[in-house]
Amino acid sequence: MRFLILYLLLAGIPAMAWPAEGNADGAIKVGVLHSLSGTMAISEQAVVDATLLALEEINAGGGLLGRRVEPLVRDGASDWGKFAEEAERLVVRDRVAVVFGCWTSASRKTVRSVFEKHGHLLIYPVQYEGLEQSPNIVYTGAAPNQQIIPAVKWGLDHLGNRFYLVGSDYVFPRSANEIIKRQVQSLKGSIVGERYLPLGSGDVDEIVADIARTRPDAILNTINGDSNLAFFRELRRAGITPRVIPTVSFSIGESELANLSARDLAGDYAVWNYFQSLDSPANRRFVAAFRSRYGQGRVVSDPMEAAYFGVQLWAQAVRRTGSADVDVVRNAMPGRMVDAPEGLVYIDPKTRHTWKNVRVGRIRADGQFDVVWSTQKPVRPIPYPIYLPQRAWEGFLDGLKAGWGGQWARPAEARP
Amino acid sequence: MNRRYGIVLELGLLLLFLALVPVGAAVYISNGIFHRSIRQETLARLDSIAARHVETLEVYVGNLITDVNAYSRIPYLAEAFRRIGQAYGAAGPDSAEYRREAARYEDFFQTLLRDKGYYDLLLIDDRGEVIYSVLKERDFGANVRAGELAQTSLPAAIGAANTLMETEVSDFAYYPPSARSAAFLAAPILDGGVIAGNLVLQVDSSALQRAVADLDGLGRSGEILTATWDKGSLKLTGPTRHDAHLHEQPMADARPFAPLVRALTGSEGTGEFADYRGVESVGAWRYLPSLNWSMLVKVDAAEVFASERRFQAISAGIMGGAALVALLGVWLAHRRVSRPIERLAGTVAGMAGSELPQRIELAAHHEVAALVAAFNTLIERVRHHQENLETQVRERTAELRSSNRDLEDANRCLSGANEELEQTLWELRRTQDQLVESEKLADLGQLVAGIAHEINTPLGAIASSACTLEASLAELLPQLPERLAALAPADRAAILALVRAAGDAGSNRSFRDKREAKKTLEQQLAGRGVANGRRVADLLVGLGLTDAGEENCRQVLALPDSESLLELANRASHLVRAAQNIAIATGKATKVVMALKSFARFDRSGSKVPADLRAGLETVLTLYQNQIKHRVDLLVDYQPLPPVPCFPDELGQVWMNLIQNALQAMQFQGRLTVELRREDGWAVVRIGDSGDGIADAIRDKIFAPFFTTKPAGEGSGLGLDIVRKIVDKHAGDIGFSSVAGSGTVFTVRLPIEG
Repeated sequence: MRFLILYLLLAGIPAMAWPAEGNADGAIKVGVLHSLSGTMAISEQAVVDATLLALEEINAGGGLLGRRVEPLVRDGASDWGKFAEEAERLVVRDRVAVVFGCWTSASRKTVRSVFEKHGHLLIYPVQYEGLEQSPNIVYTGAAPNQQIIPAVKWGLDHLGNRFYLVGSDYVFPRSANEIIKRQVQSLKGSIVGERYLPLGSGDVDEIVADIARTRPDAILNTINGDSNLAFFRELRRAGITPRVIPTVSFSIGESELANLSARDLAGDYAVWNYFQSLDSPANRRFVAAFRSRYGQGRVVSDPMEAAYFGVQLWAQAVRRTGSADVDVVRNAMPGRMVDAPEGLVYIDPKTRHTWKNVRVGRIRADGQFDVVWSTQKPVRPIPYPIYLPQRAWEGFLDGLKAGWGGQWARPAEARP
Repeated sequence: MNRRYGIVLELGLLLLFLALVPVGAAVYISNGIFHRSIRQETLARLDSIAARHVETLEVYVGNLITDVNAYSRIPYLAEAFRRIGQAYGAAGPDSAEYRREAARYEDFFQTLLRDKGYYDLLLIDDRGEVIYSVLKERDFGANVRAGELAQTSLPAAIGAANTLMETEVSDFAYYPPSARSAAFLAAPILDGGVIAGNLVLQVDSSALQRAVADLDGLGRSGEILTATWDKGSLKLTGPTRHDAHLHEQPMADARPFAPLVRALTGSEGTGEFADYRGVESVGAWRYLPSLNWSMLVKVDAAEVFASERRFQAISAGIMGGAALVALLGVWLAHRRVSRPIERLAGTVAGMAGSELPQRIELAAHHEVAALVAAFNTLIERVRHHQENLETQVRERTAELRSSNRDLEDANRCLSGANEELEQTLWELRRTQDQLVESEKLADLGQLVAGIAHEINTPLGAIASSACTLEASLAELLPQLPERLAALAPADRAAILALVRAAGDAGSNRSFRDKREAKKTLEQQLAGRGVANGRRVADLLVGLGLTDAGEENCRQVLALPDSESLLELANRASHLVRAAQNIAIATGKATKVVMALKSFARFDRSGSKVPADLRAGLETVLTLYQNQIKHRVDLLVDYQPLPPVPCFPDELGQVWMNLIQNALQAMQFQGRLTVELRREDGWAVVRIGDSGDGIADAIRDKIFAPFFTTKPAGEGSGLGLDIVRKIVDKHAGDIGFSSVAGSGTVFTVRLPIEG
């Protein structure tokens, strides 16, 4: 018997030397780059919260490839130069696996060259004007055909065919309105006015007066940030209620309503891919998780949701390839899909934009939306609308940039 | 366990264990690795097949879209649309004008259709009228927003195309005008920047099914399923490999197609599941966004893991073979080793009771054969030894007999010697007794000198008192009776009282006391006016008086011839005192003699008698009083003790010896302590001196016989030896403690009870 015990012990030695599977290289570092200060902080801080929530959920589920995911949060300070600087730092010095970040097109366009130079990967969560496609950016927000174009068609079908365009003076509103103008024309509508005000400006009196004079059927609003506060206050003061002239906004979601006066905006419209009020299991999970993490009073909005599932898509690519290496993951991003809070989303292999549903919501007094229209299945993203060939769109953007002295927003006095 | 099978059974189990455990462990582990690797590889393969097919379909649809985009933007198409539309609007589809316009573009559309494999091409104007169709099925001339067409996917596709401003691909669905499943690609036709209508290309699913029907890399059981939502139910878009009719109806129960449903709700993946036939399958599922389809690429698990099954079967065979080989080994071992050994053991065991056999005959091989041979050699040698042994036994017996005789002789000599020794011993004992007696005599000799002195002293006192008596009587007898007779009776009584008191007071007072008393009396007498005070005071002191005021004294002093009367009284008191002295001396002598007598008494009764230890000690101390009384402080401390059973005489010898030693140790000068105590069940006697103590060097030897510290001839050296023997005889013990320079204490402990 003693022999048998010895034998079993000897047999146990190779078992101890069993080659272990898997590895533990330490945490996977990821960058989170948003404005935590300046005029955009009001919107971007919430996106950071959603991004971190998704990362925390991954860690709570055991991390990726047996490793923890460690977010490095950097402040772009609503300053596009600062964005580029921080992006460079994250990519070169911190060697992050991916960067989740940017809100304004101006910041995205500034950092784009950094990501392309280093062959890195940015996951961008905000709806934008399109007219862009980069192998180093995955766009989880809406392309113009997933927000602007359906909104205009919906406006034409439901609100009338005379539109007034108002926006902040930077690349998104300018480009969006360029698309809108062509679409309205193609659908036999008309544009009765087009006005811009600098980012952060409260100088809206003249615009509102112009609107009151031209009496459009609807206002298409691409104003970003806190200028909206002044704009809507002035509209109401001028007696322009949704009943008189409805406004369709492209950059006002639940987060912005929480900071504006929802009562002032109630009855107006916004177009997004996602609303907090959507009733689906995935969305109920997301809202509950966000509120239990950040507080029951918090709201979630479209860019937050896009940031949240952007992290999930990236994590899926990492799991699928078994690697957190940026080159590997970047090439695995196309074709990834997830059952997001807004429904099924899918990264289009050709454009690296996301297949998404489009929804029009009417603002409620409580700051939430009633969905009044929705597509029936995810819409293919088309970053370059069909009205012009791609090169013509790029020429248009270059013209804007040249006009702004190489910036992606009207410089100097336009900056708060 | 059967004894016969003991070794074989153990060996067999061990061999089986050794044969099966490593193989079993290796099979188990490698099967696990094998299984995982097959599974991972299969999943990866299926996933890549799925990806390939999805890509094929996406590219196919993408090309369609690109085509449609391109066509919709050709100015020629816009022109064709405008002209056909005008003709249609103006004259209707049946008019010659319409036919003329349509014929103008017929070739172009036909070519498109033929080259690209579309089913049909439709032009639809902004009111929804189908103004052109290549095939001219029922849908031609109808409105997509009304009637039959409103129920198809066509109006939705057109609406979406115009809303999203892009080419829209509708879902596949049954299209009644074509009596088949169809999908539509709708694109807005812009004329001067305005949506004028739509170009719609109709495709049937055959082109798609061809792509899906490629089962390359899917083995014998693999297949590709594609499905989509059809009015809320899951519907397969084509026949399956195992069931050609499954796709014809929507699925009432989507559960067997869970992977397809999951892919449609946003979750791609790979894994194992039971398929619609209930067969365990391995598959990969994906979503096709362009078609809003899901795709499942799957293979039966049995086929995938066939090689694993084979491995398991082979492994089982190998393990069975190993077990058989092990059993064969056991059988061989049993046949060639353990059975011969068992037989040998049986033979050897049989030998124990019976005659030694000639040889052991056993069929054996190798070491066992050598063992048998060795046994046979052993038997041979044992036999040889046996024969030798008998001769040797005879020789040895003879030798022993002669030795025995020698021993008897020696024995006799020895018993003679023994008698001599006993005689010697007896003589030695006698000598020893004599020595003990002589020791005692030696002690007595010393004693006697002291005792002689002790008796001499009272004799001297008696002699001198007798002289005093004689002289005093000679003086007193002539005058005393007359003088007393002459006195009044009261005075006579007073004088006699003085005499008696003087006798009682004795003459023990010191000279100094006497002088003090005389001085006092002189003053008192002077105070009283007594003549010749000095002489009277002398006389009074002689009578032992200190106070002239005493009753009898005063009465005598009052007499006329008091001085001569006091003189007489004085002499009379001498008589009394002499008689008293004689009595005292006689008493002392008697005491000494009594002590001697008691010490000398020798009880040979041989049994213990209860005796008072204190009395024994005091007797000895009395004998030594002469040596003690001058320069030795005697401190005695006796606790009351019941009589202790002992040999009193022998104990007396013990005390005498110890006291004698104590006195000698301090040269008869110092302090002698004698204690008698009761400690637990013991009577303890301690005799201590204040001598120099016992030197360390001789502490071990003092109880040894013939050891002495005294000059030669003074002590026999047997004293403490005898003491110890006596104490031992009493079942007691003796010990001492000695501090150099401050004395020695001997402690004797005797049991109080018997």
